[in-house]
Amino acid sequence: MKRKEQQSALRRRKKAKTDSDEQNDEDRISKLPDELRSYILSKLPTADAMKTSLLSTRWKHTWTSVTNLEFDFGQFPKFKGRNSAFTKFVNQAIITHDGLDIQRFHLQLYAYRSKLPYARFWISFAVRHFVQELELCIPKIALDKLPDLLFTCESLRLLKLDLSGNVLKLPTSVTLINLQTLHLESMSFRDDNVVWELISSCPKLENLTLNNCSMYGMKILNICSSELQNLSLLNCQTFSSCEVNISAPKLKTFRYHCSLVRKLSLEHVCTLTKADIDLHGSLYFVKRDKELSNRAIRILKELDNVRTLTLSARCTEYLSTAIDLLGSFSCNLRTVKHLDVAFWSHKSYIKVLSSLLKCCPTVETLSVGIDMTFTGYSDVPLKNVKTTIPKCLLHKLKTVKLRNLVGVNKLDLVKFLVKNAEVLEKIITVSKEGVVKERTVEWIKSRAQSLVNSNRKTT
Amino acid sequence: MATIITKEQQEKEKMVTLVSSDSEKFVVEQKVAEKSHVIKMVMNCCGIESPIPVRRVKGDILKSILEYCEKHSKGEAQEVMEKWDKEYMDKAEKDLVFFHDLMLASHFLHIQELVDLIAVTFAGMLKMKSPEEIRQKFNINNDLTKEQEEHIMTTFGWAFQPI
Repeated sequence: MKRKEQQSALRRRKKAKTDSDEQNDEDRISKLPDELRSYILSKLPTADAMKTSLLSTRWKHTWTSVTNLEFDFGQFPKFKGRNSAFTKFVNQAIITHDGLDIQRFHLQLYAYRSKLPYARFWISFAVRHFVQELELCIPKIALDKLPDLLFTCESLRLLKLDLSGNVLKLPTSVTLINLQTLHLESMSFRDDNVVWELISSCPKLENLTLNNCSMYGMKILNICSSELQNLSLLNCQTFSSCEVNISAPKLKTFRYHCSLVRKLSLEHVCTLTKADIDLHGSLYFVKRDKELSNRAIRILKELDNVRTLTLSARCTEYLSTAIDLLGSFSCNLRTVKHLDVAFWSHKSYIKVLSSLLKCCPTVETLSVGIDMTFTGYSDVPLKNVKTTIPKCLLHKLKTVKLRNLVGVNKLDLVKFLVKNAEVLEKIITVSKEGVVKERTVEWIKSRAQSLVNSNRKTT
Repeated sequence: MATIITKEQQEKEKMVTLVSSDSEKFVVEQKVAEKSHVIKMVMNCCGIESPIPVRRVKGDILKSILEYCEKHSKGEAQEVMEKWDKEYMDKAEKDLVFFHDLMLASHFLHIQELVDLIAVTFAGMLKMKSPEEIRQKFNINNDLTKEQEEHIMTTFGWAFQPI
């Protein structure tokens, strides 16, 4: 009897096992609704999506209903006749596409080194299929001029345009009524009006980035936008006589990583909370020219509502030379709550930091880093900056983060902070290797005391 | 995690009860359940007093989905969320049956963020693999005729060369 029971239990278990095996062996992915399968393929570059056509009949046409078309010539396999195979593939993908709306269209032709008139047709295809996100990298050699209808595309919400150095030419009529994000990369502007015209044709623009653009043709860069919230000007080449005027009442974050211009003004900007400043260009002239030093300081003066301020090592170097040359330094950064500054390895950095902190009396968190990447001038003697550590009352400073600080640099700063910051709670150090240590001020004080005691004993 | 709590608390925190297809009950905050567009609509029209049946979703799947919704209703920093999402996906994708059901359920419940996350992970499984490797992984039976296969191979031959 007992044996019978055991046998039947064994049988039951065996059956259960084969059931679950069957469940595992089932082809479930192919049974997903068509909509979900094409959604999965939409997350792949189109060449990878197309490859699934060889899986089975159920997959044969799935790739033609993707809502994301992504063609990157740089990722295309390298073989003889690559150019024509690429062209043929994109054409095929477009012709066989099932005609649904396209959410995103990405065309990267950076490495394409010959004429490609089809590109105009492809972009027009995307526009006619109500594309919402368009990312194009089109070098001059492939296509000199973008199709006009791109600049009147109503469905477009995001446009990332990289012209590999080519001049941006606009048609006579530009209206991008739903555009929220605009990235202009690696292109040159021939006159003052191009950028202004483009921006003023985008009434809903919230995010604008100009990266690696050549503005040598421009005297004034005017950015006027009523809805703009995030603005980044990065690595743009300008003449030092250029003027940058920004008027954006809703601006929240501002990143400026370019060389010093004659004038940078932020007008009607009262909601700015975050600013990140890095100044490019040689320091050689700054050291000799009061005007340039003043310009660096003037930029900070424009940021009088900012709560989070980030200054790069090169930017603080500008400021320190300016401070040295001008003898003193003052600007109002009373709203700054979080300050993140970097310095080049520099003996006098602490004085520059304290001058800066004097302008930010309400700072709550401070992050100081040493930037070791720089190998140019090391240790410029600051003649006019006093050598004693000045008093600088910090009533609100609670947390300090030290990145990459070692030896005397670190010790001096910790001393300075413990002395001047009344309510300081903790100091966090992050080493070059990324090791994080957190110490309370009490711990530091008791440690210092015990060190003093042991020193006395030895002497 | 979805936990069962007392009735007084339920009233205080505006809790809602969801019932899976295998009658498992989950009591979650309203804002957690709201992550599902479908449940949100049901709550809007029928209120949160009586339990809401989620008939097409099994208990273990619903549990996992609610775990996701709860984490995503806290408004934590982006990097924290990305790390959490990755760990969540790493765990889920180990069992393909579960993973498949998770996608269907999040699609059915209309949790777009989660559908998106799963689709990206699924796509990652297909990328850089030969058709044969994909067929093996997902037990796909190749029912293409020789002619069909040859047609695809001649049109897009470049795509199927070994790298």
